[in-house]
Parts: sequence; C-alpha cells; structure tokens
Amino acid sequence: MRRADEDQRLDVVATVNGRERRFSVLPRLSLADTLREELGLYGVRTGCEHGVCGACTILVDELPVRSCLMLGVQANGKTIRTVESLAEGSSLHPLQEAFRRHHALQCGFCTAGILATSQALLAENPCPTREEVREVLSGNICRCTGYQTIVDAIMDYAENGQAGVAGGERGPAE
Amino acid sequence: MKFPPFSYACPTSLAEAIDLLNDNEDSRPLAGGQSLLPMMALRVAAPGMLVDLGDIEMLRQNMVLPESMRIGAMVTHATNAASLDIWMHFPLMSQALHHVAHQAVRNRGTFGGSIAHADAGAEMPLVVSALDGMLLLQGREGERSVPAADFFQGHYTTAIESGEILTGVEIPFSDMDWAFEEMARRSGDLAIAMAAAGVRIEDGVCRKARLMFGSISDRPVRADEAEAFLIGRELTPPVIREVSAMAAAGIHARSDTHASAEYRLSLATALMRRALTRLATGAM
Ligand SMILES: Cc1cc2nc3c(=O)[nH]c(=O)nc-3n(C[C@H](O)[C@H](O)[C@H](O)COP(=O)(O)OP(=O)(O)OC[C@H]3O[C@@H](n4cnc5c(N)ncnc54)[C@H](O)[C@@H]3O)c2cc1C
Ligand code: FES
Ligand code: FES
Repeated sequence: MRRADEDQRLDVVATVNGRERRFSVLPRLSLADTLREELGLYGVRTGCEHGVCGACTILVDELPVRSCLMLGVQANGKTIRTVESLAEGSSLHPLQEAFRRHHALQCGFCTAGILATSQALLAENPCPTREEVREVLSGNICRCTGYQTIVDAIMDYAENGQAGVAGGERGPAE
Repeated sequence: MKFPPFSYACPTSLAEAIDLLNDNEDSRPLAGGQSLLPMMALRVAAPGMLVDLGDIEMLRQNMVLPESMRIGAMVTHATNAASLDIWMHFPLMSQALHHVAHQAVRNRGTFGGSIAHADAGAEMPLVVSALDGMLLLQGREGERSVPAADFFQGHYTTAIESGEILTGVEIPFSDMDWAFEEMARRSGDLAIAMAAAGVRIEDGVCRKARLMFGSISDRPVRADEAEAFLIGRELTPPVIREVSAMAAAGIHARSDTHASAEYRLSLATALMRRALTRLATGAM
C-alpha cells in the first residue's frame, strides 16, 4: 500500500507531457504545485486554489481536471498534459494560433486552463455551437472578461480546424 | 491556500481502508476530493490522515440487478452521466447530473462522496431520496443499509458513523416518469432550489406520485400531502398549479447568503410546476 506520514515524501511515477517523470512529494502538495515546483511546469496556473476558477485545469488521462483539487501523490501512474504539451518547438498549436488571431489572450492568466477545457470539449464534440462553448467556459473564470474573443477563437478553430484559416467565416471580432 | 499537513494512505482493499480509518482517530476517507480538498484549503477541515479510496476497485463499479441497480460509491459523476444503464433506469439521475458542477469537477467528484458530504444544495442526495435508495455502509462490525429517508440528517450530516465507509447505493427500478428542475446562479453552481417529480399516469389519471424538493431545507424534503392530493387526478394546468403551491406550503425553508427563505419557497413552487408540466405534456 502506498502510504506516507505528513513529513515524508512519496515516490511518484507519471507520464508528463509525453515523457516519463519520477519525483517525490509530500502528501499535502497539490498536483498544481507539484507540476510547478517539482517539474518546473510554470504554465500551470493557480488562482483560487479551491476548484472554482478553473485556472489550474489540466488534462489527466485526457480528461480535464482541477490540478488544485488533486494531490501530487495521486498523479502516480497517470498521464498528464499541461499547456506545455501543445506547441511543437516554437510553432504554436492551431488552437493557440486561433487564440492569438482573435486576441483571446489578454493578460493570459486564465488561458492555460481554458486551452485544456476547450481541448477536452473539442475532443468530445468537434463541432460545438457557440452556446455549448459558452456553457463549458462557464467553469473557467476570466477576470479580463474576455469571453467574446475566447469563444470566437474556439469557434474559429472548430470550424477551420488544423488549417487555421485566418478569420474564418465569422472574422475576428474587433 | 495550501492544504494543512496530513499523512496519506492509499489502500487497495475495503478491509484495509476500514482498518486505517478505525486505527487512526483523526482520519477521513478521500474520494474525489472535490469537496474535502476545498474545505481543507479553506481550513474548514484539517484531518490528520487521508485514506484515499481511489484504488479500491469494487467501489468503482455499477451493477444492474433484477429489480434494482447498485451504484458504486467511487463512480464519478462523469461516468454516471455517460452511463446508458443510468439513463435507461434512472432518467431523474441523468437529468440531475447535468446540473452537477463543471466537467473538470465531474471527472473526479464521485457519487458516494457527494452523498457522504450531504451538502443541502447538492443534487445526488435529492435523487437518491426521491428514488428510495438504500445506502450501503461498511464498518468493522459488518455491513448495514440505511434508507435514504433516515440517512440525510441535516446540512453535512448523515447516518455514517466514524470508521464506516459508504460502499454504494442500491436503487430500486421505478415505474414512474420523472422530471428534474433546478435554479442556480450560474450553470454548474450549487442549487438555490430544486424539484424532483415522479408520476405514473394510467387512463389519464395519476396513480402514483412522488414530489420532493432539494436545497429548500437542510436535507431533501418530501411533499406527501401534495402527493396524496394528486392520486386519482388528471394533471391539468389548474391541478398542477394547486399541487405545486400545496407541495411548497408546509416546508420550513432556509435562508442563507444566496437566497431568503421566501425566495426559495417561491422558486420551489415554480420549479415543481415546471416539472409537473413537463410530465403532463410529455416534454422530456
Ligand atoms: C467548483 C465546484 C462546483 C461544484 N458544484 C457542485 C454542484 O453543482 N452540485 C453538487 O452536487 N456538487 C458540486 N460540487 C461538489 C462535487 O460534486 C463533489 O465532488 C462532491 O460533493 C463530493 O464528492 P467527492 O467524491 O469529491 O468527495 P470528497 O470531497 O473526497 O469527500 C467529501 C466528504 O465525504 C466523505 N466521503 C467521501 N466518500 C466517502 C465514502 N465512500 N464513505 C464515507 N465517507 C466518504 C469524505 O471524507 C468527505 O468528508 C462542486 C465542487 C466544486 C469544486
Ligand atoms: S486554482 Fe484550481 S480551480 Fe482555481
Ligand atoms: S485573459 Fe486575463 S484572466 Fe483571462
């Protein structure tokens, strides 16, 4: 049985962004802090640290979860993807490109969580309606209130896919 | 905020988990962590040890029996929401699951965790009460089952004794049609008020009825007088209006920062009217 006292680190083996990683953490460390502090993945953001804001959303076994509401020790045996897994070298993922085109980034604090949420949405439903995108995004709080352009970007990517045609039917909202 | 320090164990069998809970006084089961971990971050709870139920395979299974279905405590909201068996046998639960949090929370939050936590604003306690579920509890002394009507004892208070684990809920199949309605500030938030209605209509009249509210009081409440009134009647608009007002009339409603008792009661009436109207018109 995996077990540790409060001042004792527990070994964890997980596939993080396609690579097997071994690390050890105290039970009290959240997965969000584990990814940031132990693995240097600073793309993982924390806002509220109690599940409400969605900033820390990452993919665990391809499903979106709040990394502030999971323990680092619970990552053992899991496959984890953070925003760092999206770009290939210096070329952005088409979804990231769509965000850039539509000025959906603004301050960018919520963006990593929103990318994880929208990736999971698009995997399940490649052609969402604007309403469906809005409903899913209601779980991610953007304090720049930029939902309009974020929805535009996700719709553009959904409609034009990998091709990433600039603008698309709707055109960027200025 | 960061979690306070705690020790951690992840047993692979139910017996081990029960031993850990009994041998360590200040221990708590950890299911999906979607309520317990926020409470720890906010320093509302600070258990000395968390016993993670995540590796106990038998708690992650649903089982269809001849006249009922057994839903495992550790089955996630997301799995239940996608389950064809649940959609077929318990449409009330499928409808209610759409209102439970957001996808990222549903992917880890569990059925049993939601019931053991017993937040007055949570959907699963209402569903299990409306469907007459039996709560299955396992402790050192063996297994016992508690009907939903006796299980929920108040906000965050249930019949679970310390050292016991909720293993699942056995829910009998129902021959009624069901409708669920909820009002929340934002999709995915805890409910301000909810209504569950079940009816069996034969030859145009109501033969069986079950009317319940959630989030109005500190636990799910049943409107039995209104249920009795419905029997033998047609679900016409005037009957629906009357029975909805009657159902909400006797309830002691709670006030909190989200809504006053008066507002909750007026919502209760409106939600019950909507649920019954949907059942009457077959608009599922
Ligand atoms: C942002 C956000 C929004 C949410 N919105 C909603 C909502 O709209 N509706 C809703 O219903 N819920 C909502 N929730 C709560 C969510 O559904 C939780 O997952 C659920 O209430 C608790 O389940 P859990 O598996 O996460 O349990 P945990 O948080 O792990 O545990 C909760 C409590 O139950 C105990 N416990 C857990 N499992 C067992 C067991 N098998 N036996 C005995 N004791 C046990 C724990 O010790 C703890 O005290 C929300 C949560 C968040 C973070
Ligand atoms: S930091 Fe995890 S949801 Fe806000
Ligand atoms: S872009 Fe600033 S918080 Fe969302």
